[in-house]
Amino acid sequence: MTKTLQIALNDLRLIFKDPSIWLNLVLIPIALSYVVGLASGSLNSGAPSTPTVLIDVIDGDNSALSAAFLTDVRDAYPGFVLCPLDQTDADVCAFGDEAFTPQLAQTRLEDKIALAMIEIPAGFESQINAGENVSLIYRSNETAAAPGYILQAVQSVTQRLGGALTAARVGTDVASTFDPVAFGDPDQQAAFGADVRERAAEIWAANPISVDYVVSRTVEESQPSSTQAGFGQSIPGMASMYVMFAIFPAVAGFILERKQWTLQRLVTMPLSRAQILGGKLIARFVVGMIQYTVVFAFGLLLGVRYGNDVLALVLLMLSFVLCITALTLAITTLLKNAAQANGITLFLSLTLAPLGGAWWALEIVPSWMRTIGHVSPVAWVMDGYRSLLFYGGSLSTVMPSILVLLAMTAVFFAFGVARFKFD
Amino acid sequence: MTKILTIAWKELYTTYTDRSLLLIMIVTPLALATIIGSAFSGFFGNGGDLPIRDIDVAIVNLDQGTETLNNGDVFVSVLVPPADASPETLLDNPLYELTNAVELSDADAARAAVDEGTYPAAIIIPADFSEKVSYGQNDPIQPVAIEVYASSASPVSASVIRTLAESIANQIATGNVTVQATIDAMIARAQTDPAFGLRFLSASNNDAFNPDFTPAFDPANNPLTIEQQTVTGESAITFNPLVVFGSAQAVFFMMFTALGGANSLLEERRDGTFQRQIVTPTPRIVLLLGKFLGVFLNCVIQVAFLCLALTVVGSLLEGRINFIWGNNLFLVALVVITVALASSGIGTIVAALVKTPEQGNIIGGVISLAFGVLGGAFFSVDGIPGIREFRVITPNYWGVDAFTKLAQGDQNIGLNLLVMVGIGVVFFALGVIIFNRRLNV
Repeated sequence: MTKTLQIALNDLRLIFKDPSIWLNLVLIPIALSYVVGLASGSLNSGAPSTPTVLIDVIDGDNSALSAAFLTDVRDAYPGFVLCPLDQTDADVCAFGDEAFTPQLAQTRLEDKIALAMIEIPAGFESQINAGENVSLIYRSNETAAAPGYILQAVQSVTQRLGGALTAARVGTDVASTFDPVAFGDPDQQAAFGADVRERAAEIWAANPISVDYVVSRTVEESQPSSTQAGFGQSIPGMASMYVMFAIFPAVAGFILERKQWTLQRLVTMPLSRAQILGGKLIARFVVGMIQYTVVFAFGLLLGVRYGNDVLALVLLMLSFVLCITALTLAITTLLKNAAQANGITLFLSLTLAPLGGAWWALEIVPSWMRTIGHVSPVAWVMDGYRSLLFYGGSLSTVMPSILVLLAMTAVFFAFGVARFKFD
Repeated sequence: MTKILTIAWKELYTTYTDRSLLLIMIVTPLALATIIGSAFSGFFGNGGDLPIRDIDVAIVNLDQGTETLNNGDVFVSVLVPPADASPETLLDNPLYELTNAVELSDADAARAAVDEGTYPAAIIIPADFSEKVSYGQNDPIQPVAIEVYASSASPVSASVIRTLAESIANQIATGNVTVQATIDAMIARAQTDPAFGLRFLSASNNDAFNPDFTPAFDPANNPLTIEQQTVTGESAITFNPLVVFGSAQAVFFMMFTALGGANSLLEERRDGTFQRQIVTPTPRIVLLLGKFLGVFLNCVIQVAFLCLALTVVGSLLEGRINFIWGNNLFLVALVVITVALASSGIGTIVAALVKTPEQGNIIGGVISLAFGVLGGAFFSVDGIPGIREFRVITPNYWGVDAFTKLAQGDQNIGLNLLVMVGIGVVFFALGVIIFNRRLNV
């Protein structure tokens, strides 16, 4: 055992002798976890992650109705700033010295300074009053990566404002049907419609049906769920991906050692092959665990909570790192040169990670992708982490993940040991 | 010129006969883009504005109803398909496809199921929902709240359910508000118009007043609609994730090619092979230009190939042949060339400024990754202040933005081309000059 540990220690010395290890083991994983956490936080929360969201408004009508509509949009989210209406001396709309024009609004939208633009057509109020249908124009840069929370708010406001107009239209029809002679002239009918609309608007103002959106608390009651939603996904996800980046270079390492005859030299020493292989694998296993520790510690600083079962968390980490270490051994036996090794391991790292839900939660992908994703060990470990981080899971709930990872480990290890050649 | 082309050809030959390199340059970005495209495949096809389907949701309808109706049942009937529903019924209601709704009877059990991760969200309708939202004589509408209990672990699905619940609630409210506003208006009119009042009273007493408020419950009767448009004012077209993420991956991996290719010159210098070339009757500038032309052509071929391959993937995912990059092939080709030029320019300047191949590998890796992140290779950084401002320094941003615009039919990419050509020419020229001066033989 001592000899195995000495080999491991020697390999660790060599690994940490390379200055770039700190870049790959610390700086890049931390930076990427942070950026992805911010991005996935805004993706996942369904609401703006930024304190202010600039929405440019071209109000071609400038009527009381258009003003009422915009007030409702502004009230939909506290961070919405309607420009130029809400412009302040502090230039909250970020106009700089430029005057607001439709052309500027277009440019701002293209440059993603404003995230959306609402255009209210001229004649908006008069058309509505005349009982005509009206379309508001909504332009945005929203894509899959920037969900439509602005559109969602605008749609909700439109539905409510439209509700009063629907009431006027349907109410007038009902009254006309009931008493065809009731409206002696169009003015009477219009007055009745206006009365219905006013009454409907009053009822709407009292918010007749609201939706209480209650987000379940995460494992720590004090933890803001937006932080947990973003970094709770990115920290374990990026850490798991970088565990692969940290361990897979052993494939090229084995091949180079074989090429440089250092592996063969070791065989001539009074060491068993199991000791040599064990020592080298232990070294990479330790690097993998260090990688997890670094990124998870950074997560702690950001406020991510890892659940209430430390043992379950550690066992998950251990089983995943073991699995990747065993996979490394298995791959080593299939490749012949370092260039192949670099290509294949990069390919595996960059495909197994997103496939398994390291970049985004598997909940947003189609069910068939979820099924395919579980060929990746990353999917199993992420299942476990999500259980611990979001659902208050325990050792018993993450045990299936651990067992699958250990089963994969056994298969990869058996395959690797059976095929590994020292020369 | 012949020598430059010969050296460039050698660069291309060594690259495209190296299978390991092809795995990194072509197969990996293609696989990644396919995974990303498949992950967001809900965006493909007509009306595919939701990335997810089959969201598990629990509905707890505690509504006791009134004598005549139960508004809570609307949620159930709209979201939960009848047990004996025919395939036609299931197809008629797209919400059956969007959700896998299950009706539960216990609100606490539903919340517990959300906490445990069984459902991303639960819709809980209170017992007095109909009583409060329905209009009756001397019983006006009173505010009432339904609850959407959402899992913090599944915010995207929960957000969809929230929108859905708000939409259904608003429609129920529209109908009931219409009823109250109309009846109130008629009563008010009856008070000011005695003749109308008598007719109204008589009809009410004889049950002859049976108004049909059904149209108020139909969302199609809302006179106010939203016309969604693209940034440039065209009708919104379906978002294609392969264009955005595929081009981001293509440019991201091309940056590795550019930096790695330029770095190989340092390796040649370290190994002495470059010095051997210098002793031949070939000007140094010709050697450098040949080398960097090879890198540039490598980048062009890589991105062009990935664009074609992604088109095939996109067509397979969509089930029809579709050139996903828009219909202006000339502009697409220009973007490919200029983004390759910008990237190889950056590769050249980095190779000129670093001292050893090892330094080049480290710095090149960091630059590639940073540019990839800023350029949206992993996630869009558009919503992250403090980070999004730096996108414009990367050719990745300008390239991906140009590809996306062209795919959406927007040919206004002059600035994109100009910036990329600027980056490419300036860095390429500076790199060649600096490298030439620093050559130490």
